[in-house]
Amino acid sequence: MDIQNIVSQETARQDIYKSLANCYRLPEEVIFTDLATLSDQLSNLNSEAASYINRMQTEPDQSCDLELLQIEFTRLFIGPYSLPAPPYGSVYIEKERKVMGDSTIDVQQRYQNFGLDISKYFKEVPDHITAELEFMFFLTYKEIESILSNAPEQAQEMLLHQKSFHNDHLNIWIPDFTDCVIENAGTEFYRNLAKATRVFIAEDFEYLKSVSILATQG
Amino acid sequence: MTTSKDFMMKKVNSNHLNGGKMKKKKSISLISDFLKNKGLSRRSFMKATVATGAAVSVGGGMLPQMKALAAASASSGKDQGTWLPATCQGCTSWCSMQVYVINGRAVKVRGNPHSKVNLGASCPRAHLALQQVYDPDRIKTPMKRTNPKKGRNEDPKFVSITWDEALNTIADKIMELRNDGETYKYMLMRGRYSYMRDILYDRMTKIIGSPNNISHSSLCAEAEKFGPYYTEGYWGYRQYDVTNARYILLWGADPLAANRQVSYYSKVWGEAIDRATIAIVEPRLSATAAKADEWLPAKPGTDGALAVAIAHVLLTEGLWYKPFVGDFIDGQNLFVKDQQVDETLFEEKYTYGLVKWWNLELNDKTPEWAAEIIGLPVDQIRRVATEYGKAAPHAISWLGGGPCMQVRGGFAAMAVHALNGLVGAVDNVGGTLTANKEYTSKFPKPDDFMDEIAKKGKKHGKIDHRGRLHFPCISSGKPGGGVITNNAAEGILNEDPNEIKVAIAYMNNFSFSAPQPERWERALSKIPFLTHITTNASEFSWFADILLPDTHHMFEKWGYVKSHGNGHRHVTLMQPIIENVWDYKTDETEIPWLIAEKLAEKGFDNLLRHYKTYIDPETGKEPANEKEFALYSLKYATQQLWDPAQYKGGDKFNGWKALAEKGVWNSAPYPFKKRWGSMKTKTKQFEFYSETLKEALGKHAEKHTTTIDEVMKATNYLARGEMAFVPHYEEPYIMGDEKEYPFVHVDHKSRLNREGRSANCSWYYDFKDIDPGDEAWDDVAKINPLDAKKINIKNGDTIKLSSPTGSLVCTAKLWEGVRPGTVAKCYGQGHWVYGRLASKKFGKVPRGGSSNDIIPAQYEALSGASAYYAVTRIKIEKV
Repeated sequence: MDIQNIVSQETARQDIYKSLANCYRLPEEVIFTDLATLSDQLSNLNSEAASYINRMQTEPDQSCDLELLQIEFTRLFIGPYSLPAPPYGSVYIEKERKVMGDSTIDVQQRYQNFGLDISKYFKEVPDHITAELEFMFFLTYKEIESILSNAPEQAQEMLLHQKSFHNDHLNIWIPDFTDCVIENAGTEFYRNLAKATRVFIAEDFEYLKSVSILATQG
Repeated sequence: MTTSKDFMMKKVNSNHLNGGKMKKKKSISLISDFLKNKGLSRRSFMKATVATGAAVSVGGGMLPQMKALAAASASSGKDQGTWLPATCQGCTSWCSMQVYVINGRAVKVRGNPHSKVNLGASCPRAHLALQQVYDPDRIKTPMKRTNPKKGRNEDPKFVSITWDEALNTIADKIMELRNDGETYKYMLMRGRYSYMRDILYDRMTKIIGSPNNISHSSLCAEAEKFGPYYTEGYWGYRQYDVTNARYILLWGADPLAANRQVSYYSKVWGEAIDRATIAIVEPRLSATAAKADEWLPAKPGTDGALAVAIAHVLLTEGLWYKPFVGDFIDGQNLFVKDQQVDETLFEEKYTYGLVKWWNLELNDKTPEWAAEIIGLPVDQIRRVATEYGKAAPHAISWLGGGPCMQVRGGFAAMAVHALNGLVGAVDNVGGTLTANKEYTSKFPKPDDFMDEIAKKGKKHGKIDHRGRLHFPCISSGKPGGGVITNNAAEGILNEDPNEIKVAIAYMNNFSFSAPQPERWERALSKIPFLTHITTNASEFSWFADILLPDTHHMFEKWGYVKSHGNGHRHVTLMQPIIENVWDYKTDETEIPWLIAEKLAEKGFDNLLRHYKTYIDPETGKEPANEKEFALYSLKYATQQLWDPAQYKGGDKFNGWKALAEKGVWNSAPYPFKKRWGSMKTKTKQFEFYSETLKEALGKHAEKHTTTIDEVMKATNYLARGEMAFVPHYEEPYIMGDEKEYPFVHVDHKSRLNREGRSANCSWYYDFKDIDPGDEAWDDVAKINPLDAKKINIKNGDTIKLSSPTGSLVCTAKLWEGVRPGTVAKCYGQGHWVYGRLASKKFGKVPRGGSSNDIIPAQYEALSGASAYYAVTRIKIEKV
């Protein structure tokens, strides 16, 4: 694989994380651009998640009715009632149905190690799914930057950070979270988004583990 | 907790991955292997300058464009944690607290050691605040209803909106009323408040131009204030000098569990028990009863009979406290059973009307007479009365909500409180005390900002019907001076005196917390535009058009409250001490300011101009935004506490910062006996024959051109003539036919209720069994085993409790701690919404049952209080 291919591959991962992160925000018109990106880049990686994204774009009940999607998004991920699928890591990892737990602080600490924090405009907890996926986007961005800067050791570090973040956070709670969405979604749109998320996170964790298997062998 | 620990362990292990230098060195070669493995040639790397260095340097370059993440501010980082001052409003003890905050996150709470009221103590419910503040089910952003239909079965289909959209919508609706000259159709409903309340509750309502600011107070305890007011001229909650008392006689009060000064009393109760005999009148073995010397499980609604029988014993046995009450001129006790006494033969000192009271009510109210009514042994009544009298003047008669939040509770409240007068415990060491002086200030007056529309609008009648013939609400002696909260639902439903078009409500949940809440469901469905400001979407929010997320009182807002106990009063501050997780704003300050800004943009700037007069006392600056307004208004209200130039008394501070750091101001100690001879009654004395009540009732009757007897009749009281002015016993007014509904319902409160807001906290259920008789993770009705046997109910049966006005489903608990013939059930559970945990099946099946579903909407009409106790009979059926 030449550098261009590697960069293309990692760029696909980077774009997927960014667009997936955006999909867990209150839906606006721009979500359809993100879906197009996801569709392209997941296909480029031969991801099984692509089919779910394609269904989101084609099946009738996603219906381009933005208000309907907003109501559904609010019900699933914001509340104010019942909140069937809280998009917060701590709720699943610590099993206390509480935000700002120790696991949240660990996430925040990881952001801070990279000079990052929750944006003051975001007004959510550090382990909100959008923030965590965006952090993965950031790490892949830095990885690519390192590759392009001829700094393989930094690229390796970024990969290990990604794997560690998956290992301690995303891979632990995303399956439970997506189960909640799949079970409670009133639209195929969000059910498919959850399925795509679940599949992609699992695939990408396998990919990241392959990095560390190589590391162990070395 | 285990899960957190597990998590931390895991974290430590994973850190090995990206840890020490050795590992890093190795990984450098590994990435090469990895990349080689992928067929990558090193030559094909782009030639570029590589910035090498520490791991974090990769974050030092340009940041990509992101939405959730951003560059950290300089202040982010590690912090060992600090105890910061706070206030708990889980009940109305209003304890001063401290919160341990690490990196902007609250991790534990304790009492504020600087408070002389709660002395560093904290009760169990305070800790639940940690689960409330980090509850994932909180309202996180403003929301609007998208389903125009309203009703219990109509999902509001809320959708997130911006603050700007929410505020514009609200301001537009208010402007419509202003433009149409219909400002009286605006209504403000208040639930839990701080003393910043008048900004939203009073000033905003007046300047818009409506008479309809409706508080929750009469759902709380107004009838309890009735007793002290019409005897000693004090409309407020008392504090009790328990550590100096020799006898403590409690009536339907459970200070170790609920309201007021639970933290303080829990801390010193051991000391109180050492010195005093403790007796408690309550049909249920409460937390306090479990630690008492005497438990008097009187029949519900008969407290007044017991109180007058005790008074009878005190007088016939010569046990009244002569230095306070006075004595017969010749020293001979003429208080003999069934005999009238010549008033001129008794010389009173600091009291008024003792002989009148004896002649009108007490002379034949013997323990034998009472025993039959209240269902307790004569011996016990006589023993309690005698020992209580012998402990005078250090003998407290402690009036809780139980005896008085009843349809005919007003006179029972007077009778129970009057015992304090007989034994000289009023304002005395080891007795019952009022509140110490404090020096906070009122906010600027609104008058200059009320235009003609506002003045005209405010003159309309109020939606709760206070002051009408059958609702005297004579708080503080003023007819129509009090609120009759639960009746506002009828006003709204019947458009009487007018319809309500636009309403704002905050931190209330009338469709859960008020008796017969279904009436509120219909009333709220009828209001075309309702805004609800609260922390968790509740049964009330279900009917709202706009939801605004509120700050949590313990951690996230500026404000203050005052309360008293331990012979002191404190003013304790609420401060924003943690990083807000979501996008909320403060109910009583920030939100009215933001609405005022929007109204000004739309051409009505009176409210904003008024708010701009709340200047910062330190700098003289007027507020420029909602944050400054919230802070300046607090500094304004508390200036006399922290500004040395304006010092009036109590703790002395050298400036705002010093007060904010301590978080609490304490008054001077209580000045005992200062009110003897200068009470705020008509006669200035402690009144056993209430000239004060006589005048108030007279005014009310005059207003309606009728007689006091007619007022008594209209308010469901039995007293006629002079009896209306003395503490006396009246047969309780309990709904439901005894044959169909064989049991009397006994409502009570939990040690863990943070008002009605604990239901989404798992610790509430984990620890529910700290309430005597209750079970963890269940909601039980406590039934005496003798009764249960008769109706074949077993422990753990699922049962339905029904009253003439409603029903609830819960679990049967056979328990000896409840008087046969009564069924005790704790308030707090039975939410059909309120969060994931609060309801069993969201929107459909409640977790447990809500007492209010079986309590009819009845009133103690003289004070306006809703009746919660001895108000309904119930039946039990297996489900």
